[in-house]
Amino acid sequence: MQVAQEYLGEVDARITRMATALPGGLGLRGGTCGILLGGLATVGLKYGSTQRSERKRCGELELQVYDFFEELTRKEFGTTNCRDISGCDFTNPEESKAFKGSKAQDRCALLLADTLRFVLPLLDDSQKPK
Amino acid sequence: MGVCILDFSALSFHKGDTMMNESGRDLTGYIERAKKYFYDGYT
Repeated sequence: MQVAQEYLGEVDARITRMATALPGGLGLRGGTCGILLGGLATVGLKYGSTQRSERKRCGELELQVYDFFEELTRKEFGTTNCRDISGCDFTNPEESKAFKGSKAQDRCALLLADTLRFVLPLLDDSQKPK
Repeated sequence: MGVCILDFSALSFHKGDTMMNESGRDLTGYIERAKKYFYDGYT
């Protein structure tokens, strides 16, 4: 979320703080991967609206992000859940410590990079509705 | 139930060692910074 804000040219520390709930599969509980959640929230940051009637474009792009990430993780992990992808229970201090510097962490970093390569261009104004 | 057709037209592509998107914007720095934040435990 920090980088997405930097990409958009405006950083609000409140958004970065709010996003600290996402890693580890929502509150470290191993649910939906924080990279996917961050990607979806990033699209919302640019295209979301307080008006339900103005969310069509946002919804379309969020579907694209979700489907992209699901396809990205489907073959290797078969899931979009953090615990299955990382192989780590982040509520367990020992597992969390072992994750740092592990190959699993490197895999997550690659997922992050691949997701950003897809999501950041969606934030460009040149991305016209299809 | 709706059918979602994936549109990967916004996918970035490599230009040498630099990651560019369709509008010519360099993503490399953003991606490297995101990875650094990730490794540093920063959101």
